[in-house]
Amino acid sequence: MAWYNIPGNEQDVVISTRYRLSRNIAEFPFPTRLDAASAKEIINRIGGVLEANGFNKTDFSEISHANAYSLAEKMYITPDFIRESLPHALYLNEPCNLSAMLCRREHIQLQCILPGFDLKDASSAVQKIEELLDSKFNFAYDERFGYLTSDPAYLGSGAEISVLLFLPALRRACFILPLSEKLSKCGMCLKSFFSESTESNIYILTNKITDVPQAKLVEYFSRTVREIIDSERAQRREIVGEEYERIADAATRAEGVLRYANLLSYSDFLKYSAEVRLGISLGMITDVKTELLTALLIESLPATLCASGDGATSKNRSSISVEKERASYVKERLTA
Amino acid sequence: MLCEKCKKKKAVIYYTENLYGELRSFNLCTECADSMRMSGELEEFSAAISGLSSEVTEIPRALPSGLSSLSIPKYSPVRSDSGIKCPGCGIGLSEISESRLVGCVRCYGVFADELSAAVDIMNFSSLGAARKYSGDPPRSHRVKLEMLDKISKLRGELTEAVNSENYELCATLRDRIRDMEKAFAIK
Repeated sequence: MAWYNIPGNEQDVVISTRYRLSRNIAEFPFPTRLDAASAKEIINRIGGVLEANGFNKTDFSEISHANAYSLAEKMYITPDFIRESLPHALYLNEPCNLSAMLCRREHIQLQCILPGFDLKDASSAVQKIEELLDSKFNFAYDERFGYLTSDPAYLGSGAEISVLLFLPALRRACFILPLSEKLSKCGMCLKSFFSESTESNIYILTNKITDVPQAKLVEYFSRTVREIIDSERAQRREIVGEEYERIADAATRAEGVLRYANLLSYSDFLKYSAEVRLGISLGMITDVKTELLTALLIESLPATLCASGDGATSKNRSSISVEKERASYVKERLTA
Repeated sequence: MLCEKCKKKKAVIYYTENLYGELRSFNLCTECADSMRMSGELEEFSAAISGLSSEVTEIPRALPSGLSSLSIPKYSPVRSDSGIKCPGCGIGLSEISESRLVGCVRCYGVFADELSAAVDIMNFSSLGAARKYSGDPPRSHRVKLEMLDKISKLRGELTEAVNSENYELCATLRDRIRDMEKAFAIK
């Protein structure tokens, strides 16, 4: 089952946790200076080890446009990976939480994505695969810089952490800007995740410092996320009286829109699902589960919606037909 | 105190951060701080810089003793191409600066100073030439370190054998060292 269909820890505040590790094979130039034959050799050698350990290869030349973009929407790959001109491949494990992008910006980008907040499990799952590959390949490494990467921004541990946070109460209290300024001084970056809709109240927290050991990075990042979770919950507890009534009204109205709309744009979905999500955490809505909203967050994205439907690509579909399909899909999942 | 970037003007901006438990500081003149921001050298860290204005403080009269001894090597921007190309992949500094991507492992040796300075800027560190990664190395590197350790011990034994004029042992030790160095291509 995909990561977004499973309930996660602290899911009232944290939507997902992703841990990504970049590694390169010392004998080959980085992907920017790599020829197609060497890229294929890397894919065959690393892919062989991954396949022997429960990973399945996705060949982008064999899947539809919608299916390829759907993999990006599910956060297994980055959208630029689809357009990569060099031979490249994705390896995904059976529970669909561990993936490896081969020959993107770096030779190997291992990642684990889990629902809710689970940085320890995500990092140790990735480190396990890393150890396996480390026993078979020579990773590019230097005593001064640490693990060598094509992008110097990831030198050192090569670790990228990103956590999706739902922070409606901190936003209402106008705490996002001071919080992001404070976080930037701790080597982290907090940004709105959906550029098209700040009303989603979903933010992405990433690390900007990589020249520290992985264990230290995970420890500090976890501590910071815990602090953010506590602040968000404390602010939610401040919602009382008339404000509570207004939020409860908005949440139930939003649930009504999601249940009965005939057309639903993705930005509308983000806006209304955010109100319902807050309503659930404040105990105003009891018949919708938070994990269902997380699943819909991914499943109602255009390519995933089209890929799960009749297979027609989002390019061939008018926006009104996609909105119609989204509305009926959301309705169906909420009544199921 | 002089600015740690240009090493000419007086440093008036003292910027310090607590990053993952490590105190990292910069002492800069206003021109260098502005030019670093204007030229986008810190764009990777734009979020941190946006907070700079609120955090910059005038240098206190008495700096903590540890901070005044900070030494940052001369900052050489990656974008000034010296014409040197990496023998491993043929990439030059101008291309690295443009794409923000390094070509191969050897680039880190050829352009060590420039890349180290760029990493310092991105990570708000001031390690420069003293840079040393503190995390766990990969297996291949650990094996190499263990081997180097063994070779160094054998060299110690060789010196002792020479001193005690045990030439038979000297020959054995010399051959073992040579074989090990050959196996790991250590010069």
